[in-house]
Amino acid sequence: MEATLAAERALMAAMRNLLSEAAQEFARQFAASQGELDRAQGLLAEAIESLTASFHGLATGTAQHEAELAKAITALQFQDMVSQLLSHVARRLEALERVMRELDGLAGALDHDAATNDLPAAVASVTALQGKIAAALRSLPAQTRNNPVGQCSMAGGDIELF
Amino acid sequence: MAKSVLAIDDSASIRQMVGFTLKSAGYEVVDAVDGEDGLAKAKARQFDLILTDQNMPRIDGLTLIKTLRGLPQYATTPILMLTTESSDAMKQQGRAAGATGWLVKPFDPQKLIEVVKKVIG
Repeated sequence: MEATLAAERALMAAMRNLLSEAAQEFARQFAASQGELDRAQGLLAEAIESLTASFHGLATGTAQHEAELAKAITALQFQDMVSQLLSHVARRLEALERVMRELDGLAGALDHDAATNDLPAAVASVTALQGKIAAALRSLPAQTRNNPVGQCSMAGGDIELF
Repeated sequence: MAKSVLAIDDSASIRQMVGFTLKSAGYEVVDAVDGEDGLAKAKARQFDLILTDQNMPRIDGLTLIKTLRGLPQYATTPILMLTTESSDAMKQQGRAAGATGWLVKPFDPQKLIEVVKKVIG
């Protein structure tokens, strides 16, 4: 019995360490991804500002190039679409981070349970956290389902009058 | 007198492209940066056409359309949705909210002018 308890404690401690390590690494990755998304948004904003200024300069003297102008107006809308896509990626990362926080909570509970040596209480708390993690995982698709941008090209979109 | 268009979009580049396109066709264009700003500007004066995005901070396009349709002065004014959203389900919601039409981004400037001419002349 003593040996079994010791083995269970060791297993819980190993799981706790693994979960904690995973949660910390995911948190680092999320923070880095968020920073990279922010940088991408900044680069896009700067590019569109410069392109728009150039566009206005060109448009004044190139009335004969209407077709090219129309293409430029369509293409210059890329920032809005890319920006919405980046925001959607950020929402996905935030949803994943919430799941990782639950996993981190499980690691903390395992740590506490290993110290108290109360097996029934440990099983109860881990079961409760397991339910929370499962619920968080199940809610992920709903939280990230509505991607506002389905387009794969910059071709002009459909028009429908009701 | 030029027909007036209220263009509502949280993207500055879209507002600029819509403004450039419609002004070059002779329309007066007023910008709004989101649904709440759009609603305030729509209440402040009457527009001949409202062109709105769907996904915006504070008030989204569908909510804005429903709100405008509840105002006597906008009960029959054409309201076009200009959005990246292209699903049939969203279009159905737009129709139910009272939108006059649904334009998927990116817009082709010539086609935008044609649609605007068709609904307000």
